[in-house]
Amino acid sequence: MTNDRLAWLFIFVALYATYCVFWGVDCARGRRGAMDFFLAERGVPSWVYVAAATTLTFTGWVAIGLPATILRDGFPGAALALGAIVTPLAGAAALSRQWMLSRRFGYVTPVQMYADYFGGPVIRPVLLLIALLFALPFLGMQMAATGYLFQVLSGGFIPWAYAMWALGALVFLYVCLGGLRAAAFVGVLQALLFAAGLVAIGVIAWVELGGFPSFVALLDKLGAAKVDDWGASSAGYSAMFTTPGVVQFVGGYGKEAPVGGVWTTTMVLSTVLSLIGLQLAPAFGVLAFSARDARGFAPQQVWAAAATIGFGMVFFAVIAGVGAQFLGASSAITQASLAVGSDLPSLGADHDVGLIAVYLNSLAARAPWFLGLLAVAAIAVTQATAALYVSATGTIFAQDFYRHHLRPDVTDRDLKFFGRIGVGFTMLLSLLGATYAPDAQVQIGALALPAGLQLLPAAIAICWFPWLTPRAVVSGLMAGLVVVVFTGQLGLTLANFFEIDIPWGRWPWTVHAAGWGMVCNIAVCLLFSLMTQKRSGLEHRMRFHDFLAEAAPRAPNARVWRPIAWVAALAWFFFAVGPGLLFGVDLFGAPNAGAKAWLFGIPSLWAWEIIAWVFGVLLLWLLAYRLGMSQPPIRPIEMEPEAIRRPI
Amino acid sequence: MTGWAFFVSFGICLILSGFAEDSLIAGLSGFAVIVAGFVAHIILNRIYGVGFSQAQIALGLGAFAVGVFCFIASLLFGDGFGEADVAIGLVGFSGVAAAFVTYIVINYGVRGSYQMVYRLHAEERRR
Repeated sequence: MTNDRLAWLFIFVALYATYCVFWGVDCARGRRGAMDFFLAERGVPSWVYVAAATTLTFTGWVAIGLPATILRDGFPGAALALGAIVTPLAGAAALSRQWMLSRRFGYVTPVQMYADYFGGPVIRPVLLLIALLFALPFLGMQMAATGYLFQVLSGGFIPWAYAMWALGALVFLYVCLGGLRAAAFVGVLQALLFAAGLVAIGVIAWVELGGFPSFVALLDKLGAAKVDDWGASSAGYSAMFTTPGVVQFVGGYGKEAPVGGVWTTTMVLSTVLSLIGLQLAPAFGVLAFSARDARGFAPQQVWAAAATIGFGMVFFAVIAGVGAQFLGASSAITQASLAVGSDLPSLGADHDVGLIAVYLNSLAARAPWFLGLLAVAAIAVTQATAALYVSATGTIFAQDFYRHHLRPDVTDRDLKFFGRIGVGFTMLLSLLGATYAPDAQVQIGALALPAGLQLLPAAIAICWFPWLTPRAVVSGLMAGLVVVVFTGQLGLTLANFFEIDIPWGRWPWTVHAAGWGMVCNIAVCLLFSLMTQKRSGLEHRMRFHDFLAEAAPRAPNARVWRPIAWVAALAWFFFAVGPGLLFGVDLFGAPNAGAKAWLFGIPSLWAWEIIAWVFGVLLLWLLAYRLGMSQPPIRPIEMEPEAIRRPI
Repeated sequence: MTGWAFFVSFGICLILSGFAEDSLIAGLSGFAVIVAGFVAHIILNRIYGVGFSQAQIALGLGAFAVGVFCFIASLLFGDGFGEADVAIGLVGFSGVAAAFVTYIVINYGVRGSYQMVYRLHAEERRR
């Protein structure tokens, strides 16, 4: 049986590797120049962009992390699936306009765009730091997860570090050969595998549980039994079915943990907001700049990310996560005799990330070929992220470090060469970090999403609000980053190291570090903007905004639709991922009243989340299509003659 | 190529599951996925305004022939090849062939398809 499993695993991995290398070689043909390596000559077709951007939007976090979170925390944790709406929402607000600016002013990387708009010496290094946070520790964490998956699936035959290095070498090979073009084109298959894998894991759980009615019957029993690690709420509901309040004024992990579960509505909101960091990351900007036209933005945000992957997240990831409890993954539920099978081994709190691996392992005896194929699907998600991040970081290294600081007159050939060196160094450092300093990497990598979110005011300033001054935005960004560090685990570790006693723990008041950072960031940004308004600075910024006002599409009846969109967006945030989530706990039937009392035949909180997802897709459609926020410009954009001559 | 890599992988896995567990639904779903891949290819061809190349036709027919050969060999020499397995193979391969014929007929019309084959035979005879 082990031989069968290994054979199929290697067959599919070999086929996948061949496919990747084929694209790398194919994209490298024809002595293409640096612009092709960095941005695919700004010619990535819309449908390729839709697929690659969707995989990059969700990364391995959704494929591997979300079902594990739902396994541990139940339906309150499932609210994170609404990140499928919030994340592309940020894209709708900023990406199309940033793409127009890149076309007009010739930016290759978002770092150039921000540096040109805000000026000053600070913004460029800060953005390089954020790009590196995503490229090194965040990427290393995902690569390590892939290695671990491979180790489990090969029955320990291949140690995780070997698997991680081999898969890293594959990414390096095809990205180094074909640049962003290869990363984007391979991303299409990776996106298809990602979507199919997400559905397949849910289907496996569905089948193992004996179908949906059987699953609901088990939820009925669980709702009445209150068996889980978090206990019951004040209303007597199992913590698996209820949100533990709007906010809890506790010191945070390490000082005072919240009661009844982690996912207060404030924690849900701040965590979901942190996912915006994925869309605002410099690497995502590089991918967006490479798009041939802006036709792919709206379908990517509305139909691919929010509708398709969102559907997978609110249905299949939930079935996989909650269903795993009844299949042996939760020792508490097994002990209470609520489990219907023991297909999965009991997973402790530290090993929840292995959930996907053990699901796939359960196929080893019956369908080892599916084990091989779905293992490749799980690997492909992280590989897509890795490829696009290392490619973008190589571009940023060559353009914003080597060309900007060291050799402004660099030749096209040398620039491409240093892009490749950047790709190699990024991959090497992230793998070294994952191998030799995994704990530090986890702590630093956890900063990536909150740090990425701190770019929101900067992105909004460039696209919409010239009133926000460069000094204010940069000060807000710095303040936000400092607060993110000191409300997360890294800050506490640093404080411990220097023997400083900080009176709070990680994520105090059940607010994610991203939320604390954002509050400080916006406060500083608004305050400083009030104090630092200058006419000359405004003239510089208006050059960008005048162009956007001219080029951006204008929606018919925008005056009518704009206030409707504002109200709809605020209402959605309040009810879907904000305090209004509490209404969902028992609006459609009390969690302990049994399936017959549940209006939709499923627990109330899950039904609420599904309804919120549906309205979220409608909201995104309204913004991206009806209000034209992600629509192509009204006429083709010509590059400013000055932009062609000057290196930025 | 991307579409085929995706559809064929899942299709073959489902077909293998169908044969392994004598599951008609799984096996036929696999063939349906492969037909879906074929339809996706036709749609993409239409979008890009191209047709099937000679190499693609040769590869497709070759893969189909290998599949049919493996099925017949398994039927003759394989142990435990049950009724469900026979049904999966017969219905599945017939379905794929029917999809191909349907495409030809829709694309070229009944007379056109017949004339295409007739022309080929005539050319062979001339040679």
